[in-house]
Amino acid sequence: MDRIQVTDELLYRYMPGLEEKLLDTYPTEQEIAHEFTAEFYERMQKLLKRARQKEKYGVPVTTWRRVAAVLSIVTISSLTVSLSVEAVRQKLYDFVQTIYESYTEFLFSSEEEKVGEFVPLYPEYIPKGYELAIEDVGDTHSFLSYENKEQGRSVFVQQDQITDGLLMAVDNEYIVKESYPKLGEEGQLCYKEDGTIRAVWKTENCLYMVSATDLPREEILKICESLK
Amino acid sequence: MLFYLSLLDTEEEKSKFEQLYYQYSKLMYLCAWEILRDEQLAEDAVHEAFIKLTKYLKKIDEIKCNKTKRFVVIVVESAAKDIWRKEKRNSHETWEEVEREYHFTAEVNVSGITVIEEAILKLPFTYRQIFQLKYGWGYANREIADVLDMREGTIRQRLARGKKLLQELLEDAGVHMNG
Repeated sequence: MDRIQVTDELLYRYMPGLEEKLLDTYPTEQEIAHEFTAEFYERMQKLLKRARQKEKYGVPVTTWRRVAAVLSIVTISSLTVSLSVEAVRQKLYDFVQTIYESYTEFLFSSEEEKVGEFVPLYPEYIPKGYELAIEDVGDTHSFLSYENKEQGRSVFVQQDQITDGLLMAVDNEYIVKESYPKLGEEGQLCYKEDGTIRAVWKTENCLYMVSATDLPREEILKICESLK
Repeated sequence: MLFYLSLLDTEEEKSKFEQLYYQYSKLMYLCAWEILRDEQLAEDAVHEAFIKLTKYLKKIDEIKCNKTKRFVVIVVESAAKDIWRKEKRNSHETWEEVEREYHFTAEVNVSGITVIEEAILKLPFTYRQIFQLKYGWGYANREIADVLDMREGTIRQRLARGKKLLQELLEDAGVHMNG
């Protein structure tokens, strides 16, 4: 009798069947008696809200699979920034901008996995009546949601460090765009029909987005400029 | 829970993330609990796992399927492992022992398996996880490395070690090519 050899072929033959058998034995949610604590519900509630807001206002994720282009790839650009210490221009990252029917995707790539340290910024100015409701700060991103419960309005402040593979999707429903370089590299104010204004800009290693509905342009700019 | 549900809009508006929550949160809790044996820490692991899952929403096509079930289970196992390392590193048990002994209880009930499948189930879960993702569901080494927060080189190394270990287990069980 020959000695059995554990090869990829053997594993590809056995694992799928085993997986189906194993996973079919797992209990359903209804069969599991556990009740989560109130604290857990509260934390998950914040996460769910954030997931919805990110779907609406832009989703930074790393990509595993590029979706097929609906329209066309419009630009392939290289961003260069000056590094004051070295006094030379050094390319930090590239990005590909792809415009789809309902959203625009920015895919960043860099030779470095991460450029510099991520320092989350907080607005020193927030309009009266708004309070910090969600504060989600990670190693490379920060998402803050300030809510005015009385008026049912929110201000979102999002900061993402540009890392290799960062995929940012921004919806295309903004009908008017105003260049506003004062904010930073490629600074823009975008206006939606429903009264939403979104400010976006880049710095050396981060993307910023501040958005709010039914808040005057000047107020939004004041928030952006107060980020420290 | 009713309060929680009331925050959601219509069924159609439930995001993929929310569907994942309703479909798998308790299962994820059970998996985390079996590693951590602590209710609070297990809930922390589920929370951490959901934060991580936000990164993979585009990758998940179908919510109610075994591929997604395996994916969320592995994400929560990985989160539980991180928490174990932070919170329980001083316990009497080593991680290697936990890893060797961890089998999701439900898997004990699996029936009708071959000798080779039985040997795969005896692998420590670090190897099993990688085998499950790669050979069970076709994930690339790069994708597995990302999910498990490991280097691609480590994945390749573990695949090789896992195969070697499985070979030994099969030989111990007297399995031959025609056996």
